[in-house]
Amino acid sequence: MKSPFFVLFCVLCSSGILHAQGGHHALQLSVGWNKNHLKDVNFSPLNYAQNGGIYALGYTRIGEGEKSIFDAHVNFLANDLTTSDYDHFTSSLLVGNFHASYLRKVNTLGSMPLYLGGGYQFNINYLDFNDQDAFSFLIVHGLHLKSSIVRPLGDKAKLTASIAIPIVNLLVRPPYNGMDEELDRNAGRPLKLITNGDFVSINTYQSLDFSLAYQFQLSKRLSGVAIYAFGYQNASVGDRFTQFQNQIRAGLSYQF
Amino acid sequence: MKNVIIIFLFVITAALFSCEKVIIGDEPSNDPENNFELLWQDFDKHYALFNVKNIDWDALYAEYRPQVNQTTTDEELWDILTEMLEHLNDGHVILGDYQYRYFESGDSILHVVEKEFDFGLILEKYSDYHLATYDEGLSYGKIKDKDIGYIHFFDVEGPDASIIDDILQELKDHKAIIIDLRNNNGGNDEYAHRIAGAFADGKHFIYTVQTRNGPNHNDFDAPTKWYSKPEGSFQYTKPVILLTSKYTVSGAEILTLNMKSFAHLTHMGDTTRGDHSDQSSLRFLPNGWSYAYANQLYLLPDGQNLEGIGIAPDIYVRNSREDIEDGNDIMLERAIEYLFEEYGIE
Repeated sequence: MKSPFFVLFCVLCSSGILHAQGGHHALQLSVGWNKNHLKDVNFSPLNYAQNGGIYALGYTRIGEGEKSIFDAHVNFLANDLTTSDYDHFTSSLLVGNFHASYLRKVNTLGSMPLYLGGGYQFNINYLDFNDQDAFSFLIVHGLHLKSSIVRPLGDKAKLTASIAIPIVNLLVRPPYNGMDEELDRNAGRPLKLITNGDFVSINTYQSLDFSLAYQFQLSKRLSGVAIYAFGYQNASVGDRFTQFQNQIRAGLSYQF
Repeated sequence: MKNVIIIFLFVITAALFSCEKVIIGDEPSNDPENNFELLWQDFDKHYALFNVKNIDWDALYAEYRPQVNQTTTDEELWDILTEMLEHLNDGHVILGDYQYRYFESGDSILHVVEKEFDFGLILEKYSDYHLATYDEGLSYGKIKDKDIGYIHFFDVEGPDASIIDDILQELKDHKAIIIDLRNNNGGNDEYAHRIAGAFADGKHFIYTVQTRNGPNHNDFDAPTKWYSKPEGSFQYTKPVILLTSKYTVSGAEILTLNMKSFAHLTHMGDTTRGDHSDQSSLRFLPNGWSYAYANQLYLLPDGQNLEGIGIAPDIYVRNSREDIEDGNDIMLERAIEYLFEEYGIE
């Protein structure tokens, strides 16, 4: 049941590679600041917040005539997670995301091409208090619909807005309050751990990713990028998990 | 049209940046009644041992909830909650305020029993030598003038349980070993299984574990069977004495259950504490306190429950405080005598 995710990931990658002739590729590295708000009732009844650095690495393949976009990127952050009132409840938060998508141009609104497609996403949030005195996590494998619209700003700059909404998700959560025998048994098997979940419907898991990227050309191959991204996810199966994060990143994109 | 879209995107972005309270929700109320309710309800939904300990949790609510109102002070709430939790008599039930107060349910017996053992006395009177290891709670040596090894555990956790293999390489030529689990605070089950594996004489079914998984007090997942079995490259199968007391707790009791399955082991001392379940993750309250509890049920292969009861020894012997003050560890002396009487080991 979990293999469709892998198959789709392979299809996405091959789509990007097969369409490589005639277009161009870009590698993008960016760093920035992330503000996270979350509540994980499995971990605590309190609200938590996180502020700190985030790192992102991306690969984009623009097809010939800009008719398609293949995009794959990873984000990572590891920071303190704080409550509003107590320093002694400070925990740590690790977030990792991998998204891959393939979009085709479906329309043009004036001078703004509109892209539509889909992709695979893997998100992990891991919360830990004092070396597992308390811990929780939420892992999602999802297939999403994605749309992007590009607004050219003169010859050397453009603004891209993208939105992704998952439609099928595999959700992995720990038991309430710590270990159970199954988690214990799989402790040394990370692949089993991160896939040992349940498929959930939109009734019990909702998610939205939105980004606004401003890209300006610095030289023939090098561009500067400034990105705002918003992420939301809410899981109500079992113990509620709600997360809301804003991030601003800046970086460089190298075209080849 | 284009400008409208751009402005629209920026407006959405600005709005999203400032709406965390709407999305995440308000903080839980930090008042005495809500703190009481959060704790009581969490236990009600997730504590595993109400039935085996014959605890009427609703009756305790009826008794203690009316004592809490919006004017209840911090000190009063502490007293009310700890008095309620004391009924559980469970060493895995804890409450702390991260400043100066820490509560462990049913720990009064430990304060008595811990004075019935003196590690310094072992070193001074009963040892030819005694060595520390890189595992802080684990040390070993030789009983004075006897061909008997001695291993003491203050806890059952550490960086690497396979250290027991190295210790047994040092002690394997002795005719017997005494393993001392007195004044042991416990640890984790994995460590206990690995230690026991170095003494295993075969594979034995020792207990089942079930995790509470539903709103009813008897909602548990399917039982998982646990076995003692050989681990490591060498097993010590000469006579072994296991010494326990009421201050042999949790992970040390799991080690005891493992060891008792071996034919070459004799269990001496006092009945263990009776806290077998794993402890839950810490839970947090809006007033800055935290707590934990037992969320699993351990049963013997025949279905017998030992929570709150403990593991009885094969041969009962207990030090008094006076014995220790007089410089005598009667329990250890009895173990040495037993090895001579049963096996002629001296």
